[in-house]
Amino acid sequence: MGSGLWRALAIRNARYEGLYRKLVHPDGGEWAEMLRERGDFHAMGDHCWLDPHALIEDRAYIRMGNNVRISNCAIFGHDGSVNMINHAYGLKLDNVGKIEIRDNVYIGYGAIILPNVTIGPNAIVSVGSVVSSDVAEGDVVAGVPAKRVGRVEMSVEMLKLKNQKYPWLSMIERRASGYEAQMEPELVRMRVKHFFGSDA
Amino acid sequence: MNELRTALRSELVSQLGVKGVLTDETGLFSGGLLDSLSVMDLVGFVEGKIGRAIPPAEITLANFDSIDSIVRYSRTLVSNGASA
Repeated sequence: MGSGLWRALAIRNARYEGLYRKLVHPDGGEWAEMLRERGDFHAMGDHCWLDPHALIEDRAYIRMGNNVRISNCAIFGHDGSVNMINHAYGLKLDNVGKIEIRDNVYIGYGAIILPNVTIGPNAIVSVGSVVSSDVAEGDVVAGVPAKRVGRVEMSVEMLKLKNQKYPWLSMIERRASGYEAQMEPELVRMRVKHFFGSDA
Repeated sequence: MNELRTALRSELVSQLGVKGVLTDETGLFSGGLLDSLSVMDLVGFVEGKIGRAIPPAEITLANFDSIDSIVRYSRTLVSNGASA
């Protein structure tokens, strides 16, 4: 069965998304487009990239802007403790909230995003952070709970300086996209030599 | 502001772990003496010293990359606040 057919099945029925992921190995861009076509999210902008292994629950309560990149993290639009409370206290309460991820946001590996938060625009959530309150425009946050540890603009300036020292910068500048398979062996060789002083 | 300059130098060495030659012009971040995760520690220290909050949008490399630039920026921030 071709990859297009698995994708079509996943779009038609969410039960097939696991098979699509397992058999086709879509990249984050393809996965995001499949979810967009299926209409899982309240809204999704352009140029989004979602790790197919990210745990994203309550997708209907999530609104994403443009250029949102989500690593293998967890995003919840509900707080499951309400079910315990309801049972223990004989109540019938609900505990859900929206998640708004604005333009140009990166969410790092292992982060956990809880309901009722707005992230960005132009923000970075560092690896392993737990986001339980809003992340302001332009902030870099880290930690549990996530706190501001820097500013994206400053990170960009520092990244530019760091790149100027990379011997392979001209190769990166020649790339048409973020990854080019034919360049990769030479890039890896140059990086290994830079890091360890020898090719092997 | 000379007091800030002296306090900054002491803080950078004793609390933020800056080692090696540290002049007033040394690039703290651009020279690799501090990493990006130290930005907010430095900002918090300066805020405490000058008694003013630093607007997030003004936390830039131009304002925080050296003792000189931090003192210059702090002087501007304090004088703008005084004239407001």
